[in-house]
Amino acid sequence: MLDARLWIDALLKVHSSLQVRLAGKNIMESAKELLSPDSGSLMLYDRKKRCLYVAAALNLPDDVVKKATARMGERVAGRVAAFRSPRLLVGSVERYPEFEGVEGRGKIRVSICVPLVSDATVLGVLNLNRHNNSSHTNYTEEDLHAAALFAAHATLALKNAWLADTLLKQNRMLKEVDAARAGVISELVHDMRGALGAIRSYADNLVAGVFGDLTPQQEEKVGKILEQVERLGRLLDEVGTSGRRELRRELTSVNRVVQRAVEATEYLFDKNNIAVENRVPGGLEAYMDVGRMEQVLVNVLSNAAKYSGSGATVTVDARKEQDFVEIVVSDTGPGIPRDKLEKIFEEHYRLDEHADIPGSGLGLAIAKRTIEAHGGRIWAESPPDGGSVFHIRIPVR
Amino acid sequence: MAVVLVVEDDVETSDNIKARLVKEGFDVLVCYDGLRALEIVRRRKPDVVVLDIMVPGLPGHHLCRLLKYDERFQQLPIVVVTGRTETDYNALAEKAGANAFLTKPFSMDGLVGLIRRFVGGE
Repeated sequence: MLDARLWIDALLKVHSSLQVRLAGKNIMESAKELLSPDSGSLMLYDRKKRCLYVAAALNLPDDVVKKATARMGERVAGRVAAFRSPRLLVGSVERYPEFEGVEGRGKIRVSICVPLVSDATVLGVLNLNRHNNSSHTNYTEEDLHAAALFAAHATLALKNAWLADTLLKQNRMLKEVDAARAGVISELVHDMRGALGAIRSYADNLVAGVFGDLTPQQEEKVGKILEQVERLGRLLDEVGTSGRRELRRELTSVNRVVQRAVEATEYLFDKNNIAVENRVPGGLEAYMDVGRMEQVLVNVLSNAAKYSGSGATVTVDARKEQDFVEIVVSDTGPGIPRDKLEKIFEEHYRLDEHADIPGSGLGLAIAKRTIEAHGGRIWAESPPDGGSVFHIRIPVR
Repeated sequence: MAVVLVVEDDVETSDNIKARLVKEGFDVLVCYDGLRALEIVRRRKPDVVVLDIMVPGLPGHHLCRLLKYDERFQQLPIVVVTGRTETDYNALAEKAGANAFLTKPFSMDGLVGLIRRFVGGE
């Protein structure tokens, strides 16, 4: 009869580790508790070297453990592995015709050898021996069945450990590949920005008359070049962002990020005769990816600068609300139609009434993605008394 | 006449920046190397520096830090230009004390506006 308590403890131990080395050790120790061998070994099959080696041993001298390897069909373990069925061997192995040619085993009186087989593949062999001078009786057929049941669990435990190990290795490799890819994209984006910067400097200078006066028609065409440059710039923002998925968040002054974004867009405000004011209080801080948050604010502010209309005022304010910081960008422009308040955050969506103003329709979509990656929310409102208000809400930490 | 030092190793970009700033009435010095820039700042004492962060010799944010450590140049406004990358050079430059930031492809109007603000409503 099997002792339930003993078995439960032994099997829990066998299944307790996902590390191959530790799982092997646990298997050997549990086998000792259940089947009281005088000596034994857990041999595992090394697919590269194509032989069994001792992964865990009980009462075997170290030099034996190191030397004890067996190819398929070699020695008792190799034979059992080739047969793929458990064997009870009483007395000398020479008595068994299927073990012909295998050398004798000295002091071993009786042994159980069980192959660990999964999906018709041999993972290893469990050897349990009782010696000539043993205080235990010989192993019986019932012990053999018990050992086979135990081996089934040992096989599962080892297979799980191997799978976990493989997954970890693959995961590590994928991360390396991903990092390399992000590096390549980043370099590419940088170089493209450089080239785009040069193109823009020519176009800007043409419009500014640095190379002589342009006819209205030429000026219009250069304007088209600038539109495309802006579009490519936005696309690069997008690519650059997808090249690095993880945010690098650090505790940052909200005012400082807003100030940077205001400075980056100030020329647009000036050009369109719009006043912009940063009213964010100095002490306000939140964990954020500075570069990306600046990009979000630049996108929202560029929209305000482009669409509010001459004479408008744009203000940026922020406040802390419980565990969130809310940045509010309001303008005194014509506002956004109620039914479009959500649509404007969709990729490539642009309001019909602004078809004549250059834009890619990507800015707010990128902003939305970035804010959501911060665990926050961005939305727009069109108050009844006019203008539009953008709310950017991110967790403080 | 206010003097602007442009440190930018992309020759076409630096040529265009120079042409535009000259037209806007600035005196413009151009160099393509961070170490050389340090020398020029010490010798010619410009009113504003426009600094690409990825220049040979001495990376822009290091140059920026060196200048901000130097008593004579602590007040010298530095406009940093970057091609936004994996490494947030804007943040590095800000820590190094840069005064303003532009990401390529930046607007020339934007650059001129910033410089005018720093040299005081010229």
